[in-house]
Amino acid sequence: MTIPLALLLSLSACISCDDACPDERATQVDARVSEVNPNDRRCGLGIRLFGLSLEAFGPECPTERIYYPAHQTCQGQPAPYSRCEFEKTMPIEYESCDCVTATILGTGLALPDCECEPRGILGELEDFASRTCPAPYPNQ
Amino acid sequence: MSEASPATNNTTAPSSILVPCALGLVPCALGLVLCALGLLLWLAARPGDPAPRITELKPTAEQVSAPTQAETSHPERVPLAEPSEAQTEAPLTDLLLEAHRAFHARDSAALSEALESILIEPASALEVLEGLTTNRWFEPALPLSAAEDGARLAIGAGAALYASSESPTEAAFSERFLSRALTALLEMRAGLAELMTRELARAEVEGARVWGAEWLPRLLHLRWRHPDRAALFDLLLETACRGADADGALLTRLLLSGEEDPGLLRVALGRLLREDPLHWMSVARDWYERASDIETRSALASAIATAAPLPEATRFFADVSDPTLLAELRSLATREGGARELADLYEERLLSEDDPRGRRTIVSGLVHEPDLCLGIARTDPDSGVRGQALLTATVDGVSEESLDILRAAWRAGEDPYYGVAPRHLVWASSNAALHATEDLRPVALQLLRSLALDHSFPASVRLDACERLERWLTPSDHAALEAELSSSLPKVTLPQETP
Repeated sequence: MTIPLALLLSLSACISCDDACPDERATQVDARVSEVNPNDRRCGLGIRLFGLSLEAFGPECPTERIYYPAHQTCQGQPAPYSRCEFEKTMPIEYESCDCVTATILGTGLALPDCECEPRGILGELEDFASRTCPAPYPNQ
Repeated sequence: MSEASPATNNTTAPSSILVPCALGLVPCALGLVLCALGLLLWLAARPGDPAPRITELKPTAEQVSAPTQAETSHPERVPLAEPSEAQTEAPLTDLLLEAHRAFHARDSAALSEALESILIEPASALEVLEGLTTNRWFEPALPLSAAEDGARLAIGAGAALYASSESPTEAAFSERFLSRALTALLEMRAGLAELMTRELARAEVEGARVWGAEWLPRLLHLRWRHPDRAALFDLLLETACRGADADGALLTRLLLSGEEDPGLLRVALGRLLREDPLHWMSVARDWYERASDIETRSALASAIATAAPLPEATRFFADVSDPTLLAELRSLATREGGARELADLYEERLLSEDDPRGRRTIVSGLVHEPDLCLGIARTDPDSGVRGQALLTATVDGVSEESLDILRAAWRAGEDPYYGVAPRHLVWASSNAALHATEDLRPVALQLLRSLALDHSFPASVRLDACERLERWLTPSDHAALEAELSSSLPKVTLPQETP
């Protein structure tokens, strides 16, 4: 009688456990910078050669740069006794950029450059983390 | 130029002078006048006086700075020539150094003059390419020497100049120069080649890119033949694919063969989406679902953002709701009519009570619509969408109204219809402080400070607010705030092991 009861209790425990260990860990996503430059803007000098107008030769200058922080996501990467859980939200920050004339100290030279300044937080992304499944675990 | 070079056609001039005088049928005075005129012509064109050289046709620095329409007339064309052994290193190197100096001194006239002096001689232009492939101006301590920087300028300008109908060289030289430039890229050291490729890809003349659709087969051939340097050609391919006459069948082959290459995906898919949007949107969506890395997803999204019809593109972004595609979404929003399309889709999704994540994504693209965002921040039924709307509304500027709405959202606390997540309040207030004018900044900072001291907020959010205030407060004020915050935060207890 004792054994069937134990089995029944064990079975009911498994049925009620909806947090079975998924054996999955979080996947690292590196920090990334994306640039918005729809018109391929560039900073530099315009010149004329033999009467022809030619474009500038300076650096590319996006209108915006967006910074995605390094974070972790759940992509089903297998790992025994682990689960991938939401950890926190992280801000996505952005900068706006413009062409400026940058002076090189001590040389008297100035060259066209692209300067960006922080504009604030544009959005957010979710950061996940790996957690160890509690032990003992019913299905392990 | 040699002084002794004879101008054979000019030797006929003396006999033409004698003809009017020999006729003897016209009044003597007229004959004398004609004789004098003929004599003058003969003197001007006598052997030993060289004809004007092509190099004398180039404009002076003053002409460059104030060009006129007349200067755009076709100068004489120079025949093709191999790089000459007679050309010594010093003058070319000097010209490259002068181009570098003039560029960094922002001296347009001097830069034009130096570049013209190099590019007027096709042999010199080819010599610059050769010099780059042989590291003639390489300086080990520098990623790019001054002469190489000058060469960069010369190659970029040469690509545009020779491709122009106004080119001072034979028309065929453009093809020859650009072809040599392509193969030279393969011979240069990696960093230099990348720099030169960027310069070449940008080359434009009369508003048109130098690398048109006619270059596609050759670029593809080079790319496939040199897979280790494939990235070099992607930039040029992108330019060539933009041409309206780019061959769709060729691009399809390119796309299907390079599905795993994000650069090619973006380039070819962007062009094909313009050709057959219905078909290629479906393909792009399918590939997006299957893509496992952010680079590929970003490339697909980038192509869709820039090339797909606006309704399809906005729906794609709302459907995938990926916060790591904000840059691509913003590219879409900058297209003509893009923001309007996003606003319309927001209304549609709001009425259909769709998944709020789609609306959040749409709102994050409405950057230049602060009034619309403030309206959404007040009325959207989802707190996450309202929070995103506050972020978007404050990311480019701030008004009294936006600060009022922020305060109202704060006062609403956890109200499901008016409240906003504490982190969104802190971030939006921080945005407001960053963009506020002098009169509004104290208001924004006071709000941020109040949020930092709000006991109902999570400790991490309060600490974040305190950290964001640091740039605006004096060290002593910030230290005082930190102390006040620490005393009000609950004591942290280490988590106990579950028995």
